[in-house]
Amino acid sequence: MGDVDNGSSLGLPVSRRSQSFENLSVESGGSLHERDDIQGHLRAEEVDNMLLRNDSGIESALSYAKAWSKYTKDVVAWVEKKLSLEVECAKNLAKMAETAKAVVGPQDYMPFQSIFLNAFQNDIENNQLWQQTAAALQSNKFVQPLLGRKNELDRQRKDIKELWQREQKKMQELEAALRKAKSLYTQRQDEYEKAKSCTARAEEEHLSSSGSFVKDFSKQLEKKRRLEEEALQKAEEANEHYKASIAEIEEKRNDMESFKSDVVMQLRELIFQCDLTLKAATVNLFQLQHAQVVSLPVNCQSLCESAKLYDPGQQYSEFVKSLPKEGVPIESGSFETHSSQVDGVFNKQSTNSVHTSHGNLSQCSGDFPSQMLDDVGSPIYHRSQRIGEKRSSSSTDIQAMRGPPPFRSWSVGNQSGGMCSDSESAGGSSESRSMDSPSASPGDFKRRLPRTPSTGTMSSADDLDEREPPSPSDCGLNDLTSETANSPGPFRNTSMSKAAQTHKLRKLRAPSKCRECDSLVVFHGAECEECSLACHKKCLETLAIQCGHKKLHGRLHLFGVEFAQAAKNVPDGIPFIIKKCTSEIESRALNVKGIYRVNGAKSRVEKLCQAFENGKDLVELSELYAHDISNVLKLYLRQLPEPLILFRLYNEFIGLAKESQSVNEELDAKQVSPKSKKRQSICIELNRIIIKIKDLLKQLPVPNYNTLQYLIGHLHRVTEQSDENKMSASNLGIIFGPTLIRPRQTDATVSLSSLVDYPYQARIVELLITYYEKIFDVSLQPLLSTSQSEEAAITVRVALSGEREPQQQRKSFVAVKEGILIAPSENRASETAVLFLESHNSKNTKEQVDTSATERASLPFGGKQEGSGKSSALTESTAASVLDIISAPKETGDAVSPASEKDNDSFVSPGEDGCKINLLPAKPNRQINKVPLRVPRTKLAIRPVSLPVDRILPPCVLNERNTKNAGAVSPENLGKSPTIEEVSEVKALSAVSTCCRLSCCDTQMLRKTWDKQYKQYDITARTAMIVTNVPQENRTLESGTAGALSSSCSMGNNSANASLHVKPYPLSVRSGRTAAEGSGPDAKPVATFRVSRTLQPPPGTFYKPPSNKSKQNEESSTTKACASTSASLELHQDNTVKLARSSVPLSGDPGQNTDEQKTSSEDAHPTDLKPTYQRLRPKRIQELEHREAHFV
Amino acid sequence: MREYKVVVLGSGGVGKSALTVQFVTGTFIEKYDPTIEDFYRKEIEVDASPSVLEILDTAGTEQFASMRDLYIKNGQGFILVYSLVNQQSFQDIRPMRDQIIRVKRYEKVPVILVGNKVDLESEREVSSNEGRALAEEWGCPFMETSAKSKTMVDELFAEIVRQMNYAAQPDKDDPCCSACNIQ
Repeated sequence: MGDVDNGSSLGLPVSRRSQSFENLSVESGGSLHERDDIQGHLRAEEVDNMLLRNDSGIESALSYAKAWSKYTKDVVAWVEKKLSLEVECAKNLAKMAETAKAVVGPQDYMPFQSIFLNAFQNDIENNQLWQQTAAALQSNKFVQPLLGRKNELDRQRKDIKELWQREQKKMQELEAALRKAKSLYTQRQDEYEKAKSCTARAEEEHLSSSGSFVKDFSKQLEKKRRLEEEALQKAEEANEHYKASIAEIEEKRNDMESFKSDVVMQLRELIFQCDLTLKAATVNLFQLQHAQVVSLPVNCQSLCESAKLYDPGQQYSEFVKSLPKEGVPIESGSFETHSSQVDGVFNKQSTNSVHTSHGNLSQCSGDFPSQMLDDVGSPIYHRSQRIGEKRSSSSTDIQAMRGPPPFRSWSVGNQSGGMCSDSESAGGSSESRSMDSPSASPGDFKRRLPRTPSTGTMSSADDLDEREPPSPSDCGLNDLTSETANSPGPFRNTSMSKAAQTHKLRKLRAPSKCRECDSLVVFHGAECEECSLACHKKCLETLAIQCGHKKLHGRLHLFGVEFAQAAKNVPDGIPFIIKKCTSEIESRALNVKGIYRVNGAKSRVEKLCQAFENGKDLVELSELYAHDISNVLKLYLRQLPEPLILFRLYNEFIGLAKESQSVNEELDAKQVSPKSKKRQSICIELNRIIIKIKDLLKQLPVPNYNTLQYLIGHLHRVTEQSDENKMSASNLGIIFGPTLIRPRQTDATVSLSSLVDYPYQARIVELLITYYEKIFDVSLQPLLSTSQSEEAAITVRVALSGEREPQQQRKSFVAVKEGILIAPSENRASETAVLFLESHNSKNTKEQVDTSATERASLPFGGKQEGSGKSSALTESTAASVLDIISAPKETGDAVSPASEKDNDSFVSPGEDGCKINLLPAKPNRQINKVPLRVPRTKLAIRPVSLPVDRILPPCVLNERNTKNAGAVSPENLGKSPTIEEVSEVKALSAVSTCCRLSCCDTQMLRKTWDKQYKQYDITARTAMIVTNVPQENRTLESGTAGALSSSCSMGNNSANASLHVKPYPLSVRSGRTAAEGSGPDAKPVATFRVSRTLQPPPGTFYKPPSNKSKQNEESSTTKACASTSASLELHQDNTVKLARSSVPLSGDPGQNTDEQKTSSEDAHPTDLKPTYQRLRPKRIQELEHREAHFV
Repeated sequence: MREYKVVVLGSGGVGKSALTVQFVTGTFIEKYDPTIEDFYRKEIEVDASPSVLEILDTAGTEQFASMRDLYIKNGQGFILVYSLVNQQSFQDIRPMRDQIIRVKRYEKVPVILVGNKVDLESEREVSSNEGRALAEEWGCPFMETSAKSKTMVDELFAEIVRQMNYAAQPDKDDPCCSACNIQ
């Protein structure tokens, strides 16, 4: 056994040696490794043989495997314990570093701060590294594979052991059987021997005895022989068995032998495999440990190096420099004077700072400061700068440098990375700014001063290049040189974003927060000299904040902050972010498909948001995706705690949206049918809604209003490109609906209510966008004061009536209507006029608009006129009247005058006309009414002919409505209406002009009456149908009255002269009154209308009766009325005298015309008109008040 | 007849409505109006069994993202659509799926990943492999469709029905048969 043990023990060491060799070979090299391999192989066979030779070989192999397993387990346990200790240690270190960092970080201007921060950072990074290493070792590098291998080994070892034991047992059994067979054989052999001897003895006895016993003997003998034979046989059998057993056991032994070698082989392979794994794991372990430690000395050394670089007192002077700049001018002055002479620490510091600031300049920077110190104004200094720039390797810089003028080069130098031309100017400005501004730090000041002189002295680039090398030597400060040497031309090789190029970058001096990624920058940071923006070197690629050339403000909170807070920083109340985004989008992304709809990339959007908070309006957007920008804008609006359209207005707006929705539905429903009445009414309704919206918006704070206007204006421009970008007003409405207007969130009801309201939110925004010009009075606001506007309006009326030119009728009509509607809502007649003008202009006639624009007051009116002219003369007049009405009600406010009623009527008629026109397929003639403000009277007569067609229809409709809807309508009106209708279809348009008169004279009155009616209708039934019909009826009645007035107007439309108009007006008025009376309740307003029309001419009158409680409603109603009246007027023209009565309702347009005419004539009779209105007022005023209450 | 509540999700402008309308009406809508929420109902026969599809076409624009939880709560099967000409829309898909899982508190929600606009092969920004890899990760079917050319549209909705059927069975088997019966 001893031998055996020795053998086995020998075997083990051998294998161990081979292992170790292998390990060594891995590290030492190939040759060794090969040799080891050979040895290993040889040994492997030897090992097997030795084991085979050994009886207990397998046992010892197995026991070795078991030992390996235990050994591995122990090693793994050690590694695991070690790892956990290391991780814990690293964690604690990191924690300490973090806390230290947090404490030390904010303490600016402390010596070695950056170094310690870096050390902390190192610790933290180390912690990560250690943790990673530990994790790696735990998982796939060491522990897991080894444990896996060990388990595998154990399993196989047990299997083999079991097999082996079974084999051995079998062997033993066989041996036992053999022994048994052998003993049996010997026993049998003995028995045979005994039997044989016995037989022999018996034979002897037989021979000796003879005689009588012979037979017996022979028998016995025979028996014994038989026994002997049996014994022999048995012995032979036993012998056979024994031999067989021997053979069997022999065979078994052979089997055992081969089995044994198999097992040995298996075990060997198993162990080899385990060793392989162990080897790999061990290598991993030490490699990882090496890796995790290897950075330490480097870091420490670099820290050590950078610590050596520190100049005692450096930070202190930095700190002094950074002190508030109150005293700066003085200090800087002194500093400057000293700067050239100053030596020592201070110089060094300044130079340092300069040097760093010129990060881009690379090595030259070092020279540069020194030069600065020596001679500020010297060309050399300048050159060095140049050189630095060149080195910075940006092509633009080089170009700039080559540029002949010295100034350029200097500017370039200033800007460091900038683009040639732009950078120049920017740089220059920045300099001057810094110089002038007291806010500039003394340090900055110093730095810049030297440069300015240098600009003047530029020599060739070659000189500069030559200068370069010496320049470093020039600077006598070791620190500087060393620094320059250490800093590898900080950022010249970094790719920089457009915004980054605007900065004058230097190496970051003190750790701070990166403005781009918002994390801490310690090393490899860049800092802008001018705005002191800090950021990582790698962040320069994506930096979005441009240089503002003055100290960058601290981070501000932008998103999710109250709007008022953001607005108060800006004079007009529009946050910069909105301006910035919209202007960028308008500059290049208006045609991007799905702009505002498609989402931006979340990561980039967040980054941009951050940039906005960090860099405010300096953010450079030109390189960003349009969708990201639009997304940021939406995000900003959405995150406002209270939306632009305030919570308190939410319900009202949603209510309006619902109304408009129903109107729309009606429109859709009626588009199928050719009848235009309802459509007209719908349009009127729509106008009313718009006016209401306008009024509601007036309740917004100024910043909100301005911002909303700005934004909606932008969106409006987006929709103008909707062919390309596919973003129509309704699309944008859906997207901006919930961002601009949302309910106050009460947790429970949020989801459902918001779900229900989404369409209405969207609808409101859509309306805002679609009717942007009307709702926001975009362009004309500045032109007129209210009083002026009123006057202007009057004049405009005249002008409108006077000049009418055919243009796009539909558009003009619509515009007019809208304008009218808006106008009443607004208090400023001028604004409305402006709106009208704008709409008209934009749509149809720019020329006219221009002309109108030239004339102040006249302009708005002219615009209206134009619009009306397009649609028809009537529309123009109506517009004018509307304006008047509007102004009047606003001013008067409460008092409803008959004039307003009349105006309303007239308005209504044009509005209706407009509606009709829109609806009607035939809009062939675009009549543009040029409205010279004060000329109009003469012009009034001119229009009628071109207009009629469109207008004819509306009057008919009106008449019909009146007859149908208003039972009160007088038989006269009814009778007239059919005739009117017939005629009107053809000629209605011409009549439009008459409306003007009405509006002019009685706008206030008309409004009031109209408002009353309108309100009632609204109240009674909100459905557009009902509302529209009723108002129309009323209007038609009114228009009828107006028509009476406008009979003259109709005349005018028909090419009637002003004089003619004047005559018919009174007639028409009377007829209208009569008709109104006949009709009943409706008739009253009508009468008033008529009166008003006659009265129309003097603008002052309108203004006088400012009492409009139901301004909005009235206005809208008035517009509608105007439309109807105009229509009626047209009819009237055709029908002549009868028309005068009935036509009044029919020819809204003519009414307008007549108004215009009247206005012309009015000049003479304004005073008269007023009184009539006043009379009418009282009754209607009450009504109006009621209505107003309802409406509001 | 079983009813299936299908929710179509995806970021803005990827063609959710176009897909849905194409499936429901067989027409391709050219208009580019953002959806707030549309609901469709259609009967189809899937694997010889008639089924009623209730399709909720949702708003992709982020303004309405707050409504997604609602959609998801009500939905049984989800079609996650991205535009394969817009990489960002593909990126937006993952959080949506996460949201589904979060809301449903169940990993095996029937989901199909769909790359739409396959007719715009020339403008493709998301390769088939990317989509397929994501679908494999989620263990859900993947399709590339075109609402415009009606490619794979019907198949898509048939597949989501199958997915819901498939999800329903093990759903019952697992808790009821193995857990309940044995216990």
